Amino acid sequence: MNGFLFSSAMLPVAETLFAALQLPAYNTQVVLAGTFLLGVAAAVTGTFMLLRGQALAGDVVSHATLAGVVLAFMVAEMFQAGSGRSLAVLLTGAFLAGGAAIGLTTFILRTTRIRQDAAMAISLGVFYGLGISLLTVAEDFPTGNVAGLSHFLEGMTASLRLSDVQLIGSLSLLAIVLCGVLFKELRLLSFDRDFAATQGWPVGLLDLVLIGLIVLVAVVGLKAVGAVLVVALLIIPPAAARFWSDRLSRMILASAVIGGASAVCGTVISTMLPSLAAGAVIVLSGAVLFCLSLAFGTERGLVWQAVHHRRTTRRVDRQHLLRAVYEIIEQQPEPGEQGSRYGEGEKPDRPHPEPDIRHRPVNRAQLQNCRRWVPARLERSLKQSIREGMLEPVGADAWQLTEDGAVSAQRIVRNHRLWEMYLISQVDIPPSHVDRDADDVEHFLPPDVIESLSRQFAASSPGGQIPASPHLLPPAEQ
Amino acid sequence: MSSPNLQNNEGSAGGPGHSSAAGAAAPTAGPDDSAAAREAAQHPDTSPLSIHDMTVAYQRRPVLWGVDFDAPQSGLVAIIGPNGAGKTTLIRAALDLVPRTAGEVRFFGQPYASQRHRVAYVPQRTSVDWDFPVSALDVVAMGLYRQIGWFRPVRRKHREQAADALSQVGMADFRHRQISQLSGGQQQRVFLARALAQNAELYLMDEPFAGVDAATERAIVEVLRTLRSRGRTVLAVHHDLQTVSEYFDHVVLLNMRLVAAGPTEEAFTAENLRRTYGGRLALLDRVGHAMGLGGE
Repeated sequence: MNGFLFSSAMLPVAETLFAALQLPAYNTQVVLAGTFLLGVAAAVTGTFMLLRGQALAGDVVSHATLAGVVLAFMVAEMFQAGSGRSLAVLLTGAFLAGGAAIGLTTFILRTTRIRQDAAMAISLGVFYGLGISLLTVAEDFPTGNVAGLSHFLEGMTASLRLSDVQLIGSLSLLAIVLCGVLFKELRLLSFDRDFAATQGWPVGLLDLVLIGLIVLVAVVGLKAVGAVLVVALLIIPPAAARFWSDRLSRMILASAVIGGASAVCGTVISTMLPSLAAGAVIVLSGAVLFCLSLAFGTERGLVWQAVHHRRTTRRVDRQHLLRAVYEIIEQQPEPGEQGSRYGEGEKPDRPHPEPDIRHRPVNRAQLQNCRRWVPARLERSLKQSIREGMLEPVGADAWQLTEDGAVSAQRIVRNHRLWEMYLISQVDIPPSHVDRDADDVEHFLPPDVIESLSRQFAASSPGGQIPASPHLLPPAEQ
Repeated sequence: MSSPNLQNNEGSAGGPGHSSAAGAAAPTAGPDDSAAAREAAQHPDTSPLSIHDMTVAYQRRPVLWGVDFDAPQSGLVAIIGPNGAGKTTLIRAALDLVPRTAGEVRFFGQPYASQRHRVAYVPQRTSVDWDFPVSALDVVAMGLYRQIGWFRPVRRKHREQAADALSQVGMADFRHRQISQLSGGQQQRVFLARALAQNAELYLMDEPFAGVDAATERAIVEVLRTLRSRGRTVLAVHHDLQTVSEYFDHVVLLNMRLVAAGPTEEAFTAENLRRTYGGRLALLDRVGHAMGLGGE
């Protein structure tokens, strides 16, 4: 659900941007379409790349492409002056160089004991160094203008022509369609490659397809955002999307929305402020969306986690409070009964009759004595319990259980004691220590566990009665 | 050489130089010495898994040497041995996941590639990233991907099959949980359910009992017994020597080479354990003593 919510939340944003733009310029629309498709393709492909643990491979590929671009330029110019400006030719070179860099990495890994991160760093360095050196050589090239080549380093979105965008757009679409068609296969490959292999899936081929897609996207993104930044398009959207969903299909959707939105934002902003390089602005837009996801993501966002944590803490506090009230009352003599329910140091016999716990006020001193409360926390729990209708004030500094409160208190105490008995009988925790250990888990016992515990300790709680505490309770002040 | 008892077996696992055909046929037999068992021993072609003279080396370090083993027609087989004995490697090399330096592996008398559909593999739980964005049901459905085929999506029918496999391991209520929200034992049961969904005849499990809670251990044992009653074969890497006799009717003792293999009551002896685990004698004596195992 989260992914869908998110996408419907993002659409108006994109629309507002389109409206705010209000530039009839045909060229802007063309560029926008190109970067949008690129952003989505990179985000979708990047999701599998991230999950397969190949984020660094994207970095290797994108750096390696420069060498391919320059080499392709030189070769093409040698054959026919001017043909070195064809984007298709340059991207073919980039694709081959990206593939070669991955090939070199794989070769190092297979033939030596060098580890993967080091092997990747070696390939990256070798190919990037080669690209930079070739660039200086190309500057002295007799034919053609080399100036356009440096755009591939930083990207030059504004210089995209219609034919460029057609190429970028169709290759991006190809990548998106391939990811869609191979969704099931790539999911299996990314999650459990060995299992996929035993099932007879050609994992080597699938690896090749995935790395091919990464190279393709990196190459396609070259002219728009540049070799150095293209990897950010691959990584940031899926990393941000993980905060919105824990289902792959929705994660991909969220990733595509984030990727597309950052491409559109970045392009629009750089159109309005032409001094800013579009590639950099696209990546920064993605970074902003990442930060927003980190904070507000419905699945793992920090804000939700904090809210959830606080809610849990307070719930636990209130449960402690109600149990304390119950246990204080339990130890007091019933009205009309003589003396304490239990003698000094005597272990109570089980089962024992449940005390009448309504209309038996307890005061602050008793509660404070029962548990080492931080006074402010006790105060907050008291107030909240009153608001929830569990407790009602009786006089200045005393409270009693309401009808609801009595029911809740009985349930809480019963669960607590069943859990304590389980710990004592099954986990060999001495009764003197069990209270504190039980405290940690009792608040999270699912109904089926309670059910099976009740069956197990049926003798101690006939008819769902509350068993007596297996350990001595702190003496309540009268 | 062809009598299915341990000492012969140990002899036949002597090393890569060994090449007797009779030795390959010898190592195991059914739980009793019935005619059928002898028949199986003489015709390892019908064995769900026969490993012949398999050697595996990582880099230049050998991990397994000349292992000869034939799995019984049906039953539960424990693979035991100390850390680094090559237990995991035995399974992974049989499944072509690591290259074999030498030797031959046959599933139901055929090469693995043609018999994949009859074999299910349960990897070690720690071998995957449990933070992966999939649900328990998604993982179990992966066992059906082969059946579904290329490009086709997972349909309702497959999800129902997967849900059925999950309920066999007592996990029906957890099918929509993201897998990182499951306990270790529950994750292990998801892996087991994925193998069950494949409806195979031979199951190779790498430490199915590692780090699981008591409820999971009971659930897994239950599933293993059901598989046995249906005539399936399960080979499981196992670490808890105390439960070997209770859970498994066959045992393979491994320490880089095959020390012994056979029915548990014959092969799981203090002497074989000592030869498998080597140095840690005192501990083993105590374990053996506690279990009332006769050594010598």
